[in-house]
Amino acid sequence: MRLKRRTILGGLMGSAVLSAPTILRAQTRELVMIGYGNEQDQPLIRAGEELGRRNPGVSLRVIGGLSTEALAQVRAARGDSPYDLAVMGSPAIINALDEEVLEPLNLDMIPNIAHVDPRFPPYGYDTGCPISFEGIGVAYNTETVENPPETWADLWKPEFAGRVGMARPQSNLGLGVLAATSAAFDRAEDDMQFALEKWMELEPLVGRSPPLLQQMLERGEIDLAPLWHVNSALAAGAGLPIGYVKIASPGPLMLPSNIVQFINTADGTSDLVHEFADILLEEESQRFIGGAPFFFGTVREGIEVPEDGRDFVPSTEEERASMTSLDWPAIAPLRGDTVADFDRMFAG
Amino acid sequence: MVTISAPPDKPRRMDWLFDKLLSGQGIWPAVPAIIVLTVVAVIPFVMLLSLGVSEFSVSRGQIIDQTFSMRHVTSVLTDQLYWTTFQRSMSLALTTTAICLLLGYPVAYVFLIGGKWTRRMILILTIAPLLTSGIVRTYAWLVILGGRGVLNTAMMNIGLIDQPLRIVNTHWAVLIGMVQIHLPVMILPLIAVMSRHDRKLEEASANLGATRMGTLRNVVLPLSAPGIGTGAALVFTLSYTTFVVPQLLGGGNYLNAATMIYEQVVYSLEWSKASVMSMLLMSSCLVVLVGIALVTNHFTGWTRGRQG
Repeated sequence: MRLKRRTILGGLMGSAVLSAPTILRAQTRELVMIGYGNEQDQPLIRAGEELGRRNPGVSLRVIGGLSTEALAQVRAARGDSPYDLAVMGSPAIINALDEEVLEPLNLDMIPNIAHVDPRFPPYGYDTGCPISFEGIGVAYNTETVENPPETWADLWKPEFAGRVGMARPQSNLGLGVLAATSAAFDRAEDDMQFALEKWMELEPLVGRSPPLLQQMLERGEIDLAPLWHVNSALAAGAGLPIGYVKIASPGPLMLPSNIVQFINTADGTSDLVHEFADILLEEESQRFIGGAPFFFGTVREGIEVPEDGRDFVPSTEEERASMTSLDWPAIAPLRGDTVADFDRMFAG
Repeated sequence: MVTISAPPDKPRRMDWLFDKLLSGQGIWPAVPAIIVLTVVAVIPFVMLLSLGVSEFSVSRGQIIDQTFSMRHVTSVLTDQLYWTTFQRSMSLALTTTAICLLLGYPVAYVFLIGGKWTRRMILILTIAPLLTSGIVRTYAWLVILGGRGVLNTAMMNIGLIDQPLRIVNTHWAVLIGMVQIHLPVMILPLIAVMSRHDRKLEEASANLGATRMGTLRNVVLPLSAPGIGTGAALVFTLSYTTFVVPQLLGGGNYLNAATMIYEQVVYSLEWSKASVMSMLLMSSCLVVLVGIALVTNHFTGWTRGRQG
């Protein structure tokens, strides 16, 4: 074959076009993260922008989705994770550890961890870095419920019969509520069968996911339901007649949210993930996280709950002292079996 | 005088391949589609199905050990939950198909006998919903059927009911949503087949003394059998494997095969059971489709005989 000038130029141009994305990628580093997929992503996006300012060429793309969906995707991709990091609740970390798809964070590389309330890091299970927490309480319609429940056991009062909703146990919320139910009636938190039978007594309407449960409450199909405090705060902030109770016995319940990184050895983003977690733990970031409209619970010591958020987040000394979480390492592995039992009883 | 002509170009392999692909003969034109389908559908599907008949362990997201086992198949087949779920899916799909046929056939018949504007209107009304996402159409039913929805509000305003009826998050909401979403899929094949009818056959039937009902039963209906078969097969397949409508309108207490598979893959990470369920879903769907094809063939036998 005779090489002509046109052939060589064409070849060079083709190569340039083909290699352009690689060259651009080398100059810019994009972190891909699983977030919430709604307004709750704002603190993450903001911290991502700060990360970009400190590291020119670095950007953060937050993709909405559930952390459990991410686990399925990583498994489908045969370990080649499409994500670099995620914000993940403690139970999802337990499930992810079973799948071995997380690369533990080195907390020594996150200086601000020194300012975190020592109650939170253990819920990262030596893998994640806590950045906030969400409370599990009861959201209710303020127009139809005059005296909302104060304890988990109160939900079984006759006045609430046929008015309560619940989330399916595949969600952390649904699973956590079942564990809290068992604890409320002096059973072991992992006695899911007992909890399911107790909930059967209430004949609840079931939301397929926490957001769908929240919509059922907003549409007036139910009058009250266990819900995340952040979802309740956002709905109330939007003007809906929704109140929230920080339920006790056990509680107020909280679920720490952690930054975790996926096994993704090819692109070496680990240093950036650590820096990102550190930014989220800075005092200014924590104030933003704990502020309106989300009122996430903050993990850094010394951050006061804003006035507007006190209905949603434990703020008094007494509340903070009694705030607790659940035995997630015992509960999370029961997720699959509990979902099957739930379907036998509620959808069978 | 001797003229020397250049030897003909040796046909190159690429030219030969393009000739074959563009020839429009045999299987060749379908080769690109077959390759794409094999890579993006068949291979992943076989890999997924293989999980149903194996035990495997996962490390760092990769399957590291896989051995043949029928444990998951047996466990699914002996669990009443799965039978109940499939029974619910099957009855929902068959009911949806029957209602779509009952509602769709008259529309297609009006299209057949109607004037130009009627036909245009029917086509627009049938195709317009398909231009929006199924999720949007399903959410619209939440607005209509919800506790504070249009239907309940209207019935309460005219004094028919005192309390809102609970429609959303029930089997009925799912059925209503399914029929509305899949009705166009029934109407369009019916229209396509019935439009090909020779209207003179109906005139001949009338001239020979048949009533309108007699003509409909003995002429129009048999001629439209292929459309009924196609529409029924499409609606059944879509209804049997549907995910969005039960997910949004059925509530968390409602479970059909597709939602169960989704939850097992995504939330419970029980891929083996999901794989077995996928196999069952696909094979039971095929059985019904073969049934529909046989019935359709039976009723179109005389038509094919005439054409032959």
